[in-house]
Amino acid sequence: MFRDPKHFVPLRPVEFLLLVSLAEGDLHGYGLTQALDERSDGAVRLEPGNLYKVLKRLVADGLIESAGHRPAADLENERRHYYRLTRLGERVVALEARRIAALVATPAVRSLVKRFAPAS
Amino acid sequence: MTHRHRALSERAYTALLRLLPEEIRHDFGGDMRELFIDHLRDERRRAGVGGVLRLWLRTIPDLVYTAFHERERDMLTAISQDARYATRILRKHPVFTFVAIVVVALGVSAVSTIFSVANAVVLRPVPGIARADQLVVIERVHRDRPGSTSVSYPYYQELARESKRLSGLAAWDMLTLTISTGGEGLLAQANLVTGNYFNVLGTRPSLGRFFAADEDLPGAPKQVIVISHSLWQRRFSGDSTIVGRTIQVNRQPFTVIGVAPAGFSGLYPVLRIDAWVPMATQPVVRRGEILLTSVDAGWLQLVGRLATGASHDAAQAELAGLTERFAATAERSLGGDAAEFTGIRLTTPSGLPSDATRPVLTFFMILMVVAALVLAIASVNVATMLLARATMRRREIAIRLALGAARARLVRQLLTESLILFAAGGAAGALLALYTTRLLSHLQLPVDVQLNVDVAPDARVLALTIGVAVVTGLLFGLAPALDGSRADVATAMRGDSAGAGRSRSRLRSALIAGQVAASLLLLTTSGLFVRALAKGHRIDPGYDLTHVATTGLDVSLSGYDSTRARAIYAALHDRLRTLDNVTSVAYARVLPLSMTTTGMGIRVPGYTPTPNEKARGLSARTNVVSAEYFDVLRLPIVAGRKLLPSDGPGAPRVAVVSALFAQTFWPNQNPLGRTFTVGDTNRISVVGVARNVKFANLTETPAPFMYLPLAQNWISAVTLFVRTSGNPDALATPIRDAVRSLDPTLPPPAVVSLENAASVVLLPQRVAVIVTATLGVLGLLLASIGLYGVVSFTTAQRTREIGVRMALGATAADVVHLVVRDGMRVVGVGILIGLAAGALATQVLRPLLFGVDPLDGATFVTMPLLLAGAALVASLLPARRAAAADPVIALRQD
Repeated sequence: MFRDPKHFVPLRPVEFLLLVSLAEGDLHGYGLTQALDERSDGAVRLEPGNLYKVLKRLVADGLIESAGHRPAADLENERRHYYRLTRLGERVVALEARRIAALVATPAVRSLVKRFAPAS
Repeated sequence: MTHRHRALSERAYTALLRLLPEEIRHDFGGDMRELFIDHLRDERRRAGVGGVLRLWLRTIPDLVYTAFHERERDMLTAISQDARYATRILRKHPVFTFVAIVVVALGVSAVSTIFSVANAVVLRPVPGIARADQLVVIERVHRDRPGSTSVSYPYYQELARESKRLSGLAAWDMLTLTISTGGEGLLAQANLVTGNYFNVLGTRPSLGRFFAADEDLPGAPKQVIVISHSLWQRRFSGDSTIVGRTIQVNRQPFTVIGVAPAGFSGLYPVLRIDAWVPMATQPVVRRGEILLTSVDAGWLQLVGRLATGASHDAAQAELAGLTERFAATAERSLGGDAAEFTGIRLTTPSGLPSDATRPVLTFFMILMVVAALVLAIASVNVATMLLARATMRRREIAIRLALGAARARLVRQLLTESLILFAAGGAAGALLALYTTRLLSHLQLPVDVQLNVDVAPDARVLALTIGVAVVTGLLFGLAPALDGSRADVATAMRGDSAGAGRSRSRLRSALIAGQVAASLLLLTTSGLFVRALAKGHRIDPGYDLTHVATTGLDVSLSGYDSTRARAIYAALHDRLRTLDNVTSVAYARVLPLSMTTTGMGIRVPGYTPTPNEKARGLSARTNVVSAEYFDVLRLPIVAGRKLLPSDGPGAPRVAVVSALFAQTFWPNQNPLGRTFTVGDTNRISVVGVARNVKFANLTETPAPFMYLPLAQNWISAVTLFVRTSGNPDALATPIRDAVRSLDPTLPPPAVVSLENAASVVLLPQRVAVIVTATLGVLGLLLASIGLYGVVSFTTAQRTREIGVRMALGATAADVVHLVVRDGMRVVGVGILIGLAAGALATQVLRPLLFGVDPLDGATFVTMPLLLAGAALVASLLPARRAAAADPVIALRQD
């Protein structure tokens, strides 16, 4: 089923974080929560119910899909359910990334960043 | 965490997953469980058991939230569907619906009315004070004896100065003031308070200001007063120029500096307080006493605010230490008892004196239980009705089951019906309670203080009412719902009305028996209170309360010194004696049967006290009375003479003592002419012996009593007694006229008959009789209606069986016998249960029963008979109807 990626932007922050994490490779539930934790400096922390509510929505929208069960190296080789980005998902991430980049590239935002949150 | 713990957590999570809809569980349940396990391992490694607990604290809300989110739409649709269906069904049976709602409303209103009153008297927070959780009431208690004592001003000063755990400590006392703005005075209830009183309570004035520091000190430049919001409205029509105005308080000029906030009535909000005056005015408002310097006089109540960060216990420990030090130094000279009063009790302000809180709460608990019983009867009643209807709806339910309806869905449907019934009943009950509480607020209590009790239901009462209705709806709707949805499809579809399940009729019998038992319990309670009240009325106090009018007087409040007070009381006495029908007039310090006792320490030469008496000091109960007191009360003198007008200030000091006094201190000797001393006074000779009487209340244990002549022990706060050969209530106007003719500025006295004034001793019993009798009759009525309904219903169900019996030769009498026997068997079981429950439960009432046995034979025989009689009528009516039926028609039915 073909769908226009434009319908999906802007994404909710949690969704964007999840998709960005999956862009680096397939992940299982635990891996996803870890990635979220890192990418949000611990601000976004999802319990199972909440996480799968978002995953269910992303699957239904066709942005991600199941990548089957396989042993997880980081979890003592227990079998875990992996997820991956679909082609649609990849295009949506790209579109959203460009949108955000354009948003923050204005001189005004840059000077604010320089003043209040300079890179350390 | 061991492996076992991990397995336990895993199992728990799996169980909780069942909250989610099947579909979600199928798609994601496994993944969720695995993720949970991964987190579990993480948390355990990082933070041990604490981490695991924290994980659970996050996980449970997560699952519950997810479950709600996923089921939201289903639930809303289902609920609205159920509700629509239920209302349709209920509307189709208007009589059933109406009766059920009325029955529930009666039960609910009983509970919510009683709760309204309890709420107004004890449960509602004290209005007008801030951060009540930081406030503590501080009382001195005797090391061994219960009860608390008022404290002296020097003691208050010591604590206020030394305590570090309290950020502020205030003291106050009740008193009566005469307030006038020209013309006739007004008797006002007031508090005499330390200057920081309002500050400690965190109360803000609604107009003007409260006391400044220099206004509390002796010799303050001017005398000031704060008036209550209600007095401001009543007496000064809310005029805002009141602040700064000068009014007369006890004939002295006082400047009004502020108005207290609306609703604020001091720490005992059930008493109406009209004004507050600072401690510095004590010599004016409580004349003739040097209270501010006396270590001996206990007259103040304390309230303090805990300092920030100070705990209750820390404050208690500190104050106990200070008290011990004070007793050992300042109070040392008092000797005896003072050293024993080192105990300290800290309580949070409850709106009642701390020693009254518990008995009042217990009393309301009893009434609440009684009301709850009525509600239970009403609910069971509705439950039986629902059950009967479930039987009639067997076919409908069987069809729905046959068409594939889930049983859970049917239960929910039936529960929704009963919830709607109970909710409607609850709403009607709340309306009814609005009405009953309004009726109650018009009741006049026989007490001599102005009360300020607002029994109108507030949000708390409404919340309770709704909660009670919903919970009972669920509770009593569940059994019929579970039962109703259990229709056996095959039997029901055949339409065999005789096939009503055995378990169903058993449940119905149990419900009826329960109703009967609860109703009997109610009737027993009410019967016991009736007996107690009757007994209370029969208890002879030892004197004659009838034909006496009485009122409190205190001319010192109007600026009289003792010389002028004696003169005006003598003049009033003489004037009243000239009235028609008046046979005697007397004054006394304490009104008998007003729950008030006064005692004095005595010394009796020649008497060797027991060790116990030695430790506590000898004392005798006392009343200070004028010469005609014994005539007014017709209190017999058994030896010697009464007090005489000649026993004046200059004459030798004398007393009349009770027979028990004489018997205790001079056993088997002639008490006349014997002497004893009170405090440091001169010797007092006994000139007469009076009969032993009940003085403060009807159940007091007898104790030595003495009557001292008023003229030798002057006090201007007295009670006036006037005996008439006619109706004492008719004396109100003549007494008021006599007072006005002597001094038109005195406040008009409130005259009541002594019988009325003394009836306060029976107040709890009176209230209990009214409440339990009303509710008892209501319960009996409900139970009878319930029984009638059930017997009619089962009889109707058995129409065919009865037809067969009659066709086979049973007479009408046989049929009546059959039906009544079945009904009465259940009633019998209920009565037995009710008797057993009553025997246990009524023990709680013992303190209120004036010695009536909680297992009082008369009550325990009459009430079951009454109930059985009502039950007999309730089952006879349908039985006669069944017997009158034509067997041919009956057989043809269905």
